[in-house]
Amino acid sequence: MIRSVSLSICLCISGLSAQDFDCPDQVTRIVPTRVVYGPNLGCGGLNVDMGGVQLEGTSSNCPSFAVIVPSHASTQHSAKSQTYTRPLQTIKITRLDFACRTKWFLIFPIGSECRRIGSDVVSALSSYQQFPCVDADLQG
Amino acid sequence: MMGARTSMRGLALLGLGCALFLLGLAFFLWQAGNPLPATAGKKMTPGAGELMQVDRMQRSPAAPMANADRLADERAMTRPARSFDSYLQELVDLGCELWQRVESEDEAGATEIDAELRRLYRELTQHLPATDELALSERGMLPAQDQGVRGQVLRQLLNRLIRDGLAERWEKGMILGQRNASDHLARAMLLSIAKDALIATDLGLDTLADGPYLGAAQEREVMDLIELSVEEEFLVPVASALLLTTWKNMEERGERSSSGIDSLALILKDDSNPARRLAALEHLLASGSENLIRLVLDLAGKRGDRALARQLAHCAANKLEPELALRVLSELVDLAGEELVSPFMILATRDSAAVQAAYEQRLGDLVDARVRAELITGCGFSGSPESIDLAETAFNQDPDPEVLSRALFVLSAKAKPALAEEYLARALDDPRIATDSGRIGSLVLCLQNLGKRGAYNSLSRIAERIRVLPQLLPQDRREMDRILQRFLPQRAGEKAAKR
Repeated sequence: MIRSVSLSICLCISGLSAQDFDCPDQVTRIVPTRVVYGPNLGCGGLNVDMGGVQLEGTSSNCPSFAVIVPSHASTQHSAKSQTYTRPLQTIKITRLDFACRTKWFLIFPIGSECRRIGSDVVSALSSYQQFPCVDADLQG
Repeated sequence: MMGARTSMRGLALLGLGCALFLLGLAFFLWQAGNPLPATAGKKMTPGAGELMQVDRMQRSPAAPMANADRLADERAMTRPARSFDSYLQELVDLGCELWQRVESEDEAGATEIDAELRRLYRELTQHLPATDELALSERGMLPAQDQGVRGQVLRQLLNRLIRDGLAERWEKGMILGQRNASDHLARAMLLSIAKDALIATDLGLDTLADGPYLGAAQEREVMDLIELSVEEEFLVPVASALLLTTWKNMEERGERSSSGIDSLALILKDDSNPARRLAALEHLLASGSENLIRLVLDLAGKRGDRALARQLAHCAANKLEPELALRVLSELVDLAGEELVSPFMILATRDSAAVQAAYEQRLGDLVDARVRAELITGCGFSGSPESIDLAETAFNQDPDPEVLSRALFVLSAKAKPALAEEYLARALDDPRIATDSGRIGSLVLCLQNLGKRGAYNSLSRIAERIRVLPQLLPQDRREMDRILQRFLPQRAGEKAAKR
């Protein structure tokens, strides 16, 4: 709203189009899901489904933790794009903690050997949506 | 006369005694030179050795168990020869059964099957030659998409046979002074790696990378993988790690000088091949040399490549001295884009005190707000006992709203619920947070941490306050409803009915 009003005011004062004057030229960029694993604990393999993200650890390793950054749309400047972005939703960055359970599995480190022992939301990111600057002006 | 007869009898008895003693000694020596069939001619693979060691540790309190195992081994020695496939079949069957027992939490049954698995594995490696080569051949034919239990068990078994065989060849070679004993197998493994991402991880990253097996003898195969990685993207991190390992081993063995590899890395740092470039940059970064690190950071800055910045950050967090790693990470934070949580967590796991000190210093100087945020998250989730105090300090003293948000995540996940609620309530009184849709969204996600810890009343009270904020994004409101539905289904239902 504030943005739209400012666009209209600028349009009146300067006689320039809103696109030339105030459009921030922002676009969204899809960032794919990132899963980063912490140092290995050296027990069994990992196979976890976390909110649709399939984590497949390496065959002989159990990470001490994994950090999941889901796919989202980030914002970036793009000259003359004539678009702007605004936050759509907040995306959580989750840390999963793992521990070894090596009681039996000396030969077959499958699934259960590497146990998930907890998860926390550790940070957040905004996911953005992109709009044409003209629309912002028209809405105003 | 009588005296002479007595002395003759005495001599005869002495002679008989000596003869019996010698006979006994001979028998003892014969026994020592002929061990029991169960241990005779054992092929002591490191894997099998390790298994046997575990066996011994587990069996020591119960001698009858050891006897039973020895008898089983002796019986196995007398069995007719079995094929590799037949062993695999039985091992995989047992592995699947083990899986089922574990799934059904049948601990006793799983322990029993595990013991049988280990015995059979030992039998296989003792009785058949070149099981590692046979396993590699089978592993190369395994479909990557087979993620069923049977497929996983078979894959793990084959990987284990290959790993154990490779380690055995290497160790034997070391003992006999034949460093090339594992060269042939290592080369064959490199040739299998390009097949799919899973085998590249199993044999490349998990087995050969960072191991002692690669050197000048495999340099050509590693270079071939580097070339292939241009077409097969999954090979980039694998080929890069293998090249780094090859360089490190060549340097350690004197096959190439340290300065020679540094020079090569300096040439390759601008290479168009991403795997070669990554290996060169990681090598220069991990050298610990201030000049080379500066060079790498300048180059990363010039390229503006976020993915590269992240990879270098992970390399620094894992390999550099904590103080130096912190300096490198601080420079990479802006290059890496939105967040760089994981490397700071890795570093905090290695040295949480250094991470804490780095935060306090930057807070004192009021510099590097983005780095301060990552330091709070890194230290906060490192399990360090000081992490909650540090998060409180950050919330109370740090002027940066992102740092405040990060501190709230730590407090909601780690502090006592009453303390966490107190800080969340204070955040809602802070206009820097309560009027910013992104920060409000973060508060919503903190509710999930509270809910997981069973702090339902705190969760409910904070949610009520968030709900009335005009800047709460519709999507975040829906997320909050989902959290309430999950942890407080009854209250969420009542709210819905009222609406």
